[in-house]
Amino acid sequence: MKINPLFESSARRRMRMAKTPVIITAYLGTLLVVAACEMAPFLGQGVTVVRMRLGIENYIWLTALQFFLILLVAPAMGAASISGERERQTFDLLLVTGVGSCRIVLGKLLENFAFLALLILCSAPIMGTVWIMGGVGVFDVMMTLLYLMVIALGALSVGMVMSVFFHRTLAAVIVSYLAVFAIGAGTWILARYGMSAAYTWETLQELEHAAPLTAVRALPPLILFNAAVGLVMLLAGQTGILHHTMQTTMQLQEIYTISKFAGFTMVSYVVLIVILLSSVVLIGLACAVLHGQTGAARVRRSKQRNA
Amino acid sequence: MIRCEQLSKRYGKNVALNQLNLQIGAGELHGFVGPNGAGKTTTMKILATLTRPTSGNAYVDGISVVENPQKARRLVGYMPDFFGVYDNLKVWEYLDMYAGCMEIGPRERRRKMDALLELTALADKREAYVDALSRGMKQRLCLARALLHDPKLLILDEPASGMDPRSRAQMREILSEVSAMEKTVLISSHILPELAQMCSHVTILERGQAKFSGSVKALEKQMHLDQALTIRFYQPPDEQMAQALEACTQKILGTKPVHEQQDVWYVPGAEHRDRDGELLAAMMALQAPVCDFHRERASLERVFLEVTQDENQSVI
Repeated sequence: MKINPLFESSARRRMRMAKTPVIITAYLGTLLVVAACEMAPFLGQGVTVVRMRLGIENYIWLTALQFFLILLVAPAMGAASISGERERQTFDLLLVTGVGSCRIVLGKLLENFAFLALLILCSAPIMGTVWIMGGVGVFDVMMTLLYLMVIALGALSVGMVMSVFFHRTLAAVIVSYLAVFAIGAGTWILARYGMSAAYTWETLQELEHAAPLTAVRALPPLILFNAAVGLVMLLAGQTGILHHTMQTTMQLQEIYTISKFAGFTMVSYVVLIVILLSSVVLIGLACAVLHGQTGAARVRRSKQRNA
Repeated sequence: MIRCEQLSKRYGKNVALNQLNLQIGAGELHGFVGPNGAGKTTTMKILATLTRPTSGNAYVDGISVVENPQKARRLVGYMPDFFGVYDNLKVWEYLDMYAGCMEIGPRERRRKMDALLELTALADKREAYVDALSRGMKQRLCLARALLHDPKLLILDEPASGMDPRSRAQMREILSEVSAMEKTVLISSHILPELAQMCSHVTILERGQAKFSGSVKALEKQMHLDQALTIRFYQPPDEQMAQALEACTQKILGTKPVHEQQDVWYVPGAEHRDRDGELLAAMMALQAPVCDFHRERASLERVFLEVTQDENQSVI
């Protein structure tokens, strides 16, 4: 099997960097401190139903913390990948090798993703502390980790596109953060206004006995692009304790009700697939734009002009 | 090997190349000379398929770099004037990565890497980190990278810039070896005497146009500087003496002397070199304060200054 040479060399370089073990330690250390603070007072006191809930709450806090840490790290990593090559003056040397733009984008993306996946997988033992109290199964924890990896891929893809568009890393990083924030807040706000106008209590009741996917289709499409909503749905499906939070913090009774009819887990799986497909589209866009910047597409345009 | 047809490149209002026509034969070690902003790097970048011309076309071994850049890249090895290296990567890993990008198979890759590290005198630095190498070593490593896919044409933009004299000499030796591999080498440099020593052919660029392109010998012949006579005086001759000396030089050698400095004159052309003795005797008779009277091969630097000093009064 041929390994992408850019992936191989970038991965090597990253694992040799002095800051890499620091990042891994800081990431896991943060999670560990949160887990310890939550769990320590209750250890050695026996398992009761109330304490079981505390274990689940700890699991939710750890997941939320990982979600924010990933959104903090991934866009910047993606944004620095191609623009970093340009700033380092190594991009021209890559181009003259004849390596395709897709191989450049995929090599960089895979390496960044592999590092984030490593961080997420390393957190598995800390996430597993929920099993001390019980309440969440092994499959649920694995599913959450997979979900976080897909979110990491999505955020990286946004960064990669910006990295191709912007030649300066700083600009690419800032716009990536803004884009990730805009996707999160924008989809939520637009969905909220669209939803309130579209449904009455009667129409919602009609969905109660509908097939899960029919109910999912009743959700505003934009909300399916919102990774935070998907994660909340996933955790609600797994733990069954986020219902009140959803009703109060999401401030949208209709989305809660429809998701309940469809099944929270089903909604989260659909969001997972939508984010995955969006990432593929964004990666394709990054490849196409880079292809256009580096020659072949311009050649076609030039030929058409000459013709 | 290289053919540029009406090649033009504009950056906004600035004209970098102005309908450049150029032909470089296979196997030549071709020097690219010109003042800053003459269009050397732009031409090289176009040939390396990194920049598209505004108009015109350029061909490498008959393949258009504009219409078929992917195919042209397989024929070209390019070393830019400024380039970066990756940190935390060893020398062999650096070459291995580029060889992978060029889709060179693992077995052939190993053989080529060994040969190129040997050629560039970096065999003992195989396990060293690239960012820890000296500038000269980085330049040689970049040259090895450019040679990985065995290109027919090697484009080197200021390969010796920032190097100490020893490293420059080493680079010169390596380039001579590369040239012996029957590769066409296009090399730009500001160190003109080095180019004159190395190159068989030369192109002088100014304001995006070729002022001269051909063999170094042809250039010297065209400039009548192949064996110019240099006359140096103890002290600058006064006006009356200078007029008399100019007149006798014109009469005996048939050429008016050029005043390089007030006390250094040179007389282009070597057609009447057999009458040098007669001229010296005439100057002695006029009691001219001559301290040095000799013929020497003109340096490329002098030719370059002659060609580029004033476009309107250019000899060519």
